[in-house]
Amino acid sequence: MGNLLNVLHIGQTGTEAAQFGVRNTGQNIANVNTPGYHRRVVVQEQANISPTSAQKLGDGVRVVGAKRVIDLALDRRARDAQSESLASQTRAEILSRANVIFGDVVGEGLSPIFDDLLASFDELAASPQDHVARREVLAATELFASETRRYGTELSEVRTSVDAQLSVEIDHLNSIVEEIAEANRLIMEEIKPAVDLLDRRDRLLDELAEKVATRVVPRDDGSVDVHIEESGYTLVAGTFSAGLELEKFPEGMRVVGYGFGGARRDLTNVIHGGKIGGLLIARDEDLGVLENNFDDFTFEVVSELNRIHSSGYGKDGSTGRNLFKELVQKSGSARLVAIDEAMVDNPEGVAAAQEQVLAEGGNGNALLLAAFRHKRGVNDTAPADALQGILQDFGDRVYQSEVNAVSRADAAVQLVELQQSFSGVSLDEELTNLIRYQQAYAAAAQVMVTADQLMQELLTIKR
Amino acid sequence: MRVSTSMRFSLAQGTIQKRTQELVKAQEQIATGAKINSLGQDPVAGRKILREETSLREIESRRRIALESELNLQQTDAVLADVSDALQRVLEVSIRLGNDTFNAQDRGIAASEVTQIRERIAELANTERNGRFLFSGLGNTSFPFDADGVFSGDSKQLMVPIGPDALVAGTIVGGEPFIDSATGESVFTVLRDLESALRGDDGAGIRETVDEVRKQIDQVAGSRQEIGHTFERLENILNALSRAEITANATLQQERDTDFSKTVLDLQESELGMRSALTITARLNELNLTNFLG
Repeated sequence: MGNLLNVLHIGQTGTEAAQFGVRNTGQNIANVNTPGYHRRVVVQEQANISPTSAQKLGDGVRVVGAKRVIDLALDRRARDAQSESLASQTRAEILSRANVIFGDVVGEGLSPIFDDLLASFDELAASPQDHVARREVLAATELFASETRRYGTELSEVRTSVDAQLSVEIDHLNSIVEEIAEANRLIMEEIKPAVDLLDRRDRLLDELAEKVATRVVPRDDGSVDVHIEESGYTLVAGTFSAGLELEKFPEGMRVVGYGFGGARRDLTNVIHGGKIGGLLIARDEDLGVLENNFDDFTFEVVSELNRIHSSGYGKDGSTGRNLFKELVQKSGSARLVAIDEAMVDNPEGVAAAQEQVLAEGGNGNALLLAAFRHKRGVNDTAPADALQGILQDFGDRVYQSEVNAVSRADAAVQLVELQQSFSGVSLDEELTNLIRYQQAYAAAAQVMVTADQLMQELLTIKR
Repeated sequence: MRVSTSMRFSLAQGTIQKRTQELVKAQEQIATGAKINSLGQDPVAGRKILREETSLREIESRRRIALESELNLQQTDAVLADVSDALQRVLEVSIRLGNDTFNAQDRGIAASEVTQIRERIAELANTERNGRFLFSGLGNTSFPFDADGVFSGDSKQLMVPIGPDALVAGTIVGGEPFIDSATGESVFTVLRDLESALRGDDGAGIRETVDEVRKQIDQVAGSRQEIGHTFERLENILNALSRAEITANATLQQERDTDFSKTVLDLQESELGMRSALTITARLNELNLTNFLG
């Protein structure tokens, strides 16, 4: 009888194990599309194998639990690749926004407007006595100034919008960092942490890597420390977290951290990877360089044309007049450039002549203005060429950023696939498992039925 | 390699996405007729486009100036042709009436004719075009010749920009056709001398002016010849500009304009790729254990 009861028990453990298997399969199937989910396998073993009693066959099966199928190295590589890919993608997105403004080669960009300004000097030199030619110079000057201003303003608006995005991403990062510290606490409290909790923390680490490139250091107590890659700045240490802040400095918005000691550290130049890294590169390197070049160009053009113009004589005999409003410093030139107030609606003031006696019809100064077209400046380039060089440099950055984004995305996809090939759920596999556990359940149930029938037989004998 | 379900879907998605991008690109090229629409798509070609367009605008500016100079010089030449004709008539008068068979009355009538011619030449010498006196030189303040034929302009000329460091005359030197460069004597002085000789019935005086009139005619002819040279130079410049324009346009077309036959072929290839990707995705969906379980 005791043995029969044992058979009944074995059948029961069999059905329980099969049930657990079905449940685990169900969990895997349900999470087939859950980001960060690692497929789980049932760990089971024979129950109570006692080597001392040779007669004993065992007490059925024992379910140890469900185990995540995970390769930490693969996970880390996929996470890092995703971080780099997002950085490139974010950079490319910001640059393509500026490309809409600066990259135009079909419509009326800045290059044709600058050409028109230069052509207006030619016309002035050809007909210095002509009122129309003088008006044309003022109109072209006005248009060049207002368009340059518009470009400069839009460029700085793109940069401002990057700052707004940075602020959102940093807030998000701070909440993720806090959650990781909290997950650490929960994991440390449990002797054998649930796989769900570990999955959740891994998912948070993935999300954090989407903001900045990180380095994760696991500790013996089950917690993880998280540092910003290559900076040594610690975001999470055990159950403590130290987020980042966006602070206004004279040179712009900077990403700073106060760490655990409370000392401020400017991390703007060390952060890379993730959306924040991508935003910073786009803002400080790409748009920053474009803005600087554009300011330099505007400043050069304005200073040089003012210098030439002020040395000539207007039809009204005036001299020493600037064509553009004087710019005090290079920085911000593009946003501030404007026609000189005294020149507005003042075609007589356009200094075409080089000598006062020829003020009425002379074109000596107009010829100098016209010669500006071929004046070699920085890098031995003519002004129109210099402007196009700036635009091309920007075009190069847009192009490179897109190529980079594609190749980084490809690399990330490959690594994620490698990771998924190991840890991802396969529905076909799970459905096969489902059949397997279904059959195991049926068979184990049959064992119980058989044991029951044997017991019935036994009871009949006694009667 | 083990294949998870998400891999199958992400692969299908990636392929479809890539093909869609190709299709959109070909569509854009065909719709706009332009290979690239922004510098970011191809910075090198974009730069070439900007450069050639700048060249074309510079060529256009040069051409306008050259044509304007031509018009200016053509009118100057037409005016000088009139002046030349008038002076020929004066020459005839001075030669004929230098003969002492003519009496004071004849010479008086001739003097009136010369006066009229002088006034006509003075008018011509003050011709204005586009706000500029053709013969005033560079300063262009007011009528270059007053009623007495005194020149108030300058002996400079308007030089216009026609290329890097290249200038060409837009007008002739101020007063030049009317003032003898050697003696500084103006045509009006010569004509006045002739008039007073005629009125004074001074045969020797009349004969003396013949050479002076000839010199003035030569002076005008010299100016016209100079205009001819400048005109020739302008024609050469215009031809060179046309040639430069053709080259710039060819480069521009090559870099900017859509190569339709190639783009349509690309489009067909992308379309085929898209069809295969969609077919495979649909098949993948069929090949699934759930479809075979009872």
